[in-house]
Amino acid sequence: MSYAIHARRISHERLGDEVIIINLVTGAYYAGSGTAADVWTLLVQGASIDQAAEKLALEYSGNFPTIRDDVEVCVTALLKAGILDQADAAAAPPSALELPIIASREWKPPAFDEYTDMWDLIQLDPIHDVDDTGWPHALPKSKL
Amino acid sequence: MKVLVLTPQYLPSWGGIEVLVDSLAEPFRKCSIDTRVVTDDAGRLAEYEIVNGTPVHRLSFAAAVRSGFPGKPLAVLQQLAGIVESEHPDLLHMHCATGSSAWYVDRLLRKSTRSLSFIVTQHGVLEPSDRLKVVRDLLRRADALTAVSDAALQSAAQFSNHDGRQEIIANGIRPYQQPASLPGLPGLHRMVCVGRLEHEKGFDIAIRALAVARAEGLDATLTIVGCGEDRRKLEALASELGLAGSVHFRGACDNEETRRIMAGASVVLVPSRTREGFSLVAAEAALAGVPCVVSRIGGLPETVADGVTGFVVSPAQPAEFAAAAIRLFRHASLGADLGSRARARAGLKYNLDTCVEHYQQLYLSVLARAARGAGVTS
Repeated sequence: MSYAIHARRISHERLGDEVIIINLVTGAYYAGSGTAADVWTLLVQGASIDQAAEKLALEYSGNFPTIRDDVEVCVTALLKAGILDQADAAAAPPSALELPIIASREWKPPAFDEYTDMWDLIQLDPIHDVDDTGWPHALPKSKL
Repeated sequence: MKVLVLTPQYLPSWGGIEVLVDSLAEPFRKCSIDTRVVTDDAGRLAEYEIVNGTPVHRLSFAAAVRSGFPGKPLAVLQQLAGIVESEHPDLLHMHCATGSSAWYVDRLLRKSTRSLSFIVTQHGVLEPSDRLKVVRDLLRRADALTAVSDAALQSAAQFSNHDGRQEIIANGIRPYQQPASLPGLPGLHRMVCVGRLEHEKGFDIAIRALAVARAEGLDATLTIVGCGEDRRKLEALASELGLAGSVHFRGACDNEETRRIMAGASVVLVPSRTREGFSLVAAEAALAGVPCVVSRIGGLPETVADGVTGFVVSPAQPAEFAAAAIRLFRHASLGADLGSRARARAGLKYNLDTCVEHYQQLYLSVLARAARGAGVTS
């Protein structure tokens, strides 16, 4: 079983060892680093849980059963959050799974942190309306 | 000691947090505390510059989230991590955990391989109904939680169940020479409001209070200093109430002019509706010896001692603001007494040296505890 990501509903990107996934419908952010970013990278390439676990077992210092269990827990959480859908059974298996080279090879259970309050946070941000003269008091030029 | 200070905004923006951090930086340097500021860039300021001797990094925290593209906040997060890596601070001090940097700081602390001491100073009042898990997590994680008033501290502590060190540190205000005030005119009573022109500041309440005072036959005016999205609404309200000639919108003024206007006031009104942990305006009015009338909300009642240095009235009640102002207008000696006591109290409460000392002790204590936790002996 591989997994599908709705391009219209989900936006995601990886930079270094960090990945961010945005549910564009709910506004929720999901962020994960290290092993979580790697699991996501493999799922995006069409890997099943077994295929992802096999690849990760080669890359990390962990045993396959543990890694597989951890990946399954992570995938279940992503399915529950509506980030992933189960793909059609007829989907072609990936030819070669790839992961970026990262520093740490220590296996840690992958987990994504959910942030459902990003917009609330932005709205509360006490950023002032600053114009060319500053707000509400312009700083004297001599101090800049 | 090097402290990386996170602020929602920094100079040339000029609110309570910016003034505090700028005021602390120089005396900190004298006691070997180097300040580095990381703040939001507001989309138009330099990414890096030295402001009054303090290095300032500006990152697009809010804009990256607003973009809706995941790559943008990821890039900003990497920039922040790079700054921490290159500056190598001894501790992070976040002013206002509800700033747009909250998410980035949360990610940074979760990912950081080195143990960074972390302090939060809360400037506003958090409401129990706020759905801000990331802020709650940050507050809970802080090695020390401080606030500018008891109201701000209590709200943050209850909001997060923070069980570590907690302390109120009143904002220190840099001493300055009081400007010559505007010349007084016999029988003219000046009300003044200073701040961002937005609903939460409640300047509409001040305009309505002015209407009540004038209806009582008093020759009163209201000067509003500041700019913001509500200016047209406020101008329309003044016109609607027949006060167009009595309400003066001064827009943004420099510090000297603002202080001159406040020093010439009969009374300064702070009619805020919500979320004020501290009022720089009320504190500066007190230092100028001008009585204040403030809303009984958040930390404002701690800034004004009711009946002693000014008056504290119900929020959003123009009649109560008007009654307090009228009392001052009709009894000039009362205003002089309150103003005199306000100045004396503010001189002690908002003493910059005391504020510097409190923060210095806090930093040393947090670092000492971290060193003990890491098994380092000095």
